[in-house]
This record gives sequence, C-alpha cells and structure tokens, in this order.
Amino acid sequence: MSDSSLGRVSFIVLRHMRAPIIALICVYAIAMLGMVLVPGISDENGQTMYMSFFHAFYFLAYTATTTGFGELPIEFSNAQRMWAIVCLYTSVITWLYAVGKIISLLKNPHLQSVLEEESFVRSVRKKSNDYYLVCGFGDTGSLLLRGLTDAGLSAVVLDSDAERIKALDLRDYQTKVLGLCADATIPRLLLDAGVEEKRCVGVLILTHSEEANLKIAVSVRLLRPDIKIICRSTSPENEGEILAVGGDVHVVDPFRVFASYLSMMIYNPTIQTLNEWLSGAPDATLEQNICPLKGGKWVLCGYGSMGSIVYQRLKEKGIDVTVVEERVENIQEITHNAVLGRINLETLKRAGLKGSVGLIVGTNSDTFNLNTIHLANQVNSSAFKIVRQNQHANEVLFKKAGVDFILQPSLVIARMVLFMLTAPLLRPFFRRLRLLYDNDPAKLADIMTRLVTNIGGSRPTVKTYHVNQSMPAVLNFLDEKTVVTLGDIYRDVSERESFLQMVPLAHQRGEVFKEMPENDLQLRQGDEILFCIKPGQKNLFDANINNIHTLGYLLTGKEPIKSSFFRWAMR
Amino acid sequence: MNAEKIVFSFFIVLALTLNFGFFMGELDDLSHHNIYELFATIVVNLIAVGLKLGDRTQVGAVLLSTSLVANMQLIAAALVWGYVTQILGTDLTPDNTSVIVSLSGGALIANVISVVMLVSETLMSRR
Repeated sequence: MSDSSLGRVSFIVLRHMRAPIIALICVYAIAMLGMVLVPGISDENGQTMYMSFFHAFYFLAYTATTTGFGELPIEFSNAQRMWAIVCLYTSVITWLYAVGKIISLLKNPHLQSVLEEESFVRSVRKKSNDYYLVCGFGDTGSLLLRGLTDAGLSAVVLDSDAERIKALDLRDYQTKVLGLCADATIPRLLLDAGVEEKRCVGVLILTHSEEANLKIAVSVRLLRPDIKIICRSTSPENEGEILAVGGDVHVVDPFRVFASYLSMMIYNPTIQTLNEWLSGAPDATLEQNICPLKGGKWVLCGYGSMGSIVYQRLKEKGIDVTVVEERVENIQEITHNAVLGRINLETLKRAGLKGSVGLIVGTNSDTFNLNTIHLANQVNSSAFKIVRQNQHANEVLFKKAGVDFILQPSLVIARMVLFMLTAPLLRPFFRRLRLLYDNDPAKLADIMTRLVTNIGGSRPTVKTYHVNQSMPAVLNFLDEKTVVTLGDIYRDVSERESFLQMVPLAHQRGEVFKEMPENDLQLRQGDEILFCIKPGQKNLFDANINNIHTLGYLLTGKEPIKSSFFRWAMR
Repeated sequence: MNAEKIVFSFFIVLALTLNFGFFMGELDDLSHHNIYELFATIVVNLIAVGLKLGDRTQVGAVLLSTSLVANMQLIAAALVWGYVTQILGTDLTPDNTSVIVSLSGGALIANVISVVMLVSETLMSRR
C-alpha cells in the first residue's frame, strides 16, 4: 500500500478492526458448529434430525444481530434450545463489541482529521483552475479572500484554528474555497495543499506569527523555486530573511503600510483619496476631498511598534507631532516631543490637543482607542481624528464613534495584497504619482478631473491587461504589422470617435514604465497596460480586444468584410 | 520468538492443512470429502484474513490477497453445496461434488502460495 493518506486511513481502520473481526468469526464458527452437532427432534421415522450448516448460519444471522426473526423450518429440541441460549448471548455481545469498536474508531479525532485531510487533498488535486494558497485565515485573510473570489480567483486556505476553518465553510464565496485546519509550517501539509501543483500560482502567508511566516516562506521556496510569495511581516530582521529566500517574493509590513497611508493622508490627501477610490472602498468617491492637513500640530497616542513608525514617517515629512505614551522606555529617544503618562484628559491637554489640527490614535487595543476618541472629543471636538481599528468585528463601534478617518491595518494589507495580484502595475503607479506630483498639485488635479469625468462613481474596476493571448484580436492585427495604438483598443463601438468610460493609468514595456500613457502610443506584443474601468464597461472593452471584426472596425472606421466571397469580389 | 508470529503462522498453516485434507480423495466421490472439514477450512481461512488485515508492507499485501482468493474459492464451493442441498433439495451428485472439490483445489493453491511466502519471508529476515 502506498504512503498516501488513503493508505493511512485504511491502515488505521483495518488495524483497529482486526480483533473484532476475528472475534466475530470465531464466535460464529463455534455457534454454527454447535448448532449442527446438537441433536434436534426426531422425525416421523424416529430418526434424530440434525441442523444443516445453512440453517445454522441462517439462525445466527437473525439472532446474533438481534433482529429476532422467528422463522425456522423445524421446531428446536431442548438440547438445541439450550445451545441457542449460549449462541445468542455470546454472539450478541460480540456484535456489540464490534459495533462499539467501529463507532469509537469513527469518533476518534485523529482518524477524523486524517479523513478530512484526505478529502481536502483529493479536492485540491481535482481543482481545475489556478489558485492561490493562503496560509492564515485571520481578519486579513478573510478580507483578502473576499476580494480574491470577487475577482474570480480561486484559493486554498490553511489555518491552524479549527474555528476559523469552520467559519470558512459558512461563507458564500463566488468560487469554491477549500480549507484545512492545519499548521502550515509543516511541509507535508503544504504539499497536501498543493503547493507543488502547477495550478498553484502564488502563496500568501498571512499568519500572525513572525516565526511561522518565515518558516513557511522558506519551505515554500524550497518546494517551488519559481512561485510568487507574498508574506506579512512586522519586524525588519525577519523581513530581510524572508527577502533572502529569493525569487518572486514580496513582504508587506502592515505597520509600515499603515504609516505611509497616514502620512499620505495628512500630506497629500488627493493621492490618498485616489488610492481609496481605486481600491474600491465601499463609499469612497473622488469628489470627497479631504483638505490638506499639512499645517499645524498633531497628537499621536500610543508609541508602540506601529506608533514609532508613524512618528518617523510624519517627522520625515516635517509634520510637528507630539506623542502621548505611558511606558517610559518607549519614548526615551523622543522625550522633547512626548508626554509621559496614561492617556486621559490631563495628558491630552498637556500634549496640546487643544491647539492641534489632528489626533492619531494608534494603539493595539480597540477599547483603548475608542475611549481616547471619546476623551479627545471633550478636549477638542474640531480636530481631525484618525483612529486605528484592530479588529474587524468592532466596525460598528468605530462607525458610531464620530471619527474622521478609520484605518484598519488588516483591510489595508488585504487591499494591498489583492492589488499586487490583480493589478501589479498599481503600486509603481502610485510610487510615480507621489514622486512626480507631490509638488505639482495642478497636474494631479488634471488626472483627478479626467477620472471624475470619464469614470466617476465608486468602486471602479482596476485591472492589468497584457498584450498577449489574452487579447487575441489585438495580437492578430499586430501579427499583420498593422499599427494598433492604445487609443484604438478602447474606442466606443457605437461612436468611434469617442472612448469607452475608462482610463489607462499606466503602461509598461520591459523596464520602461509610463504613467498616464497617451492614446497615440503604439502597442507591441508583451506590453502591460493598467486600466481603470467604470463598472459595466468592462464587457464592451473585452469585446474590443477579443473580436477581430470589432477591433477591425475601430481601427479603420469601416465595417470589415466578413465573408470570403465578398472579400474576393471587392478585390 | 513472539506470540503474534506463532498465532499468525499457526492459522496460515492450518488453513493449508485443512484445505488439503478436504481436497484429498476421489474428485467426484462425496464420501472422501467431509462437510465439517470444509466448514473448518472456511473458518480458519477467514481468521487468516482477519490476521493479515492492516499490514502495510508489500509482502503483507500479497499475503492478504492470497487469503482473499482462497476464501472466495472456498465460499463459492460452500455456496454450490448449499444451493444443491437446500434450494434444489437434492443430494449431491458426482458432478456437483467435483465442482466443489475442484474449487477447494484452487483455494489450496492460494494457500500454498501463502505458506511459501510466509516461510520465505521468515528465512529472509535475519532476526
């Protein structure tokens, strides 16, 4: 028998059933033999009749299983009755023993987990579409999974918490998501989850343990040298080690992402608005413009692992920040900018909240954060309040708290990872935007106006398109040496001179990256284009790039001849 | 020497000897073939299957399959016997007897293979 789990399951079952089976065989054999040998009543000729083996087995079949069926061809003699009593008790007890053994075996948690693992492995092997392996199904994992499945991607989840995996079964995802309660640091379980399968296109490591994340990253890299790895890490040392595994590996640090979000919000709210809008936050629109909050003082509550990064970021941007922190060892280096003590009315006042433009509450306790907001409202109700929400379950409370901006690290990470997967050009796009437009609000405003007029609304579709087999029509014309420009592929079929409600955000050819590419850019095979599309327009665009006739019309303005007869006749 | 080995080999060898005992004699002469011996052969063979269950080795797998073959043949023989005497209600004719005995002969071969494997495995192991 093989080493597969199936072999293991049957092995366990058979091993445990050996004793009951042999006991049953023995009891049946003795009982039947006795039944056959014990003399029965005499027939009309005065000859003692004996039971046949067939009848003995028949008799046992209904007594031993306690069916209690009373049909017999010939009446029993007293000797037979006596032996029947012996048979009945021994065989029934043996049956109970065997059945009890089976039930206790089925209830054995070890066997159950083996069975679960087995069925999980089988379904993973049967998966027909590409999938991501998600290790860790916490807040971030579940938000990410929602995004992935909405984008039509499939996933396999490993989490060591059985409750979380049960919760996974109850979610109504659009694609089937398989889950197994397992410790992903064990390489065998990674193999079970199909990390070596060709259909596994990426591994997302999002557990809360730094050590586990590192171990999973290393094991995955050894098992699959070419696969994409995205790993969560909050410590710089670990980050270095994870990056050292090499290949296509990315590290996301929730604290750093959070800090850069914050600094962007304060320093350049337009980019932040754009970011929120592109990432499809439920009620983010482009029109909501938070006024720049650059000038003035800020108060930062909590100077832990996240608070310190936020502080550094804000200082880099030249923003004046005062820290309130209760542990003295945390703020030794920044004593001139910090107020020591538990957060209460008095410390908030001492930190100068009254004269500040804003307040950032970023401790790792939601209760504490909410309480601080409550206190702050008493001191300075007009200050701009940004609060960190740690647990997704507390959403209702935060919405009621009357804060200006809620940042959820798990949500931020989930969105970021999602875009790394569905729109890989988005990150360089934002990096470029920050670089180029930080000091040029006019240019940025142009982009914003273009997005508002062309797309508007909320929740746009953001997608990276590759000029390859996924654009068969474009490829066809490129092969014929026809010039296809970027503008051509997103013209409106019903009105050729105008364009579909979408905006190309970025274009990449090899190493060359161009944000907001011009419409007369000539496409070449292998180009990547990041489009921002108004919901509902995607189908029209897909027709443009898939249908040769549609694209032919868009390129020339003439209805292409479809039949070969007319093509010949028009020559 | 351990108890498990003794019990295991005992039943495998007993399965063969009983089977042989039943098979011995004229092929179509019922008086040479005793029904109790067939019964005992079936029981011992079933026990042998039970003992062989759950062995993950290659040898274990082959041993199990030989026992399964032997049982299949013997139970088929018992079914023929039961069909003729209980359902048709007649005594066994030489024709029926030869079918039953030849089926048990097939089981005998399977049991011989089983014992040969048992012996050779014991000789191979240097413990």
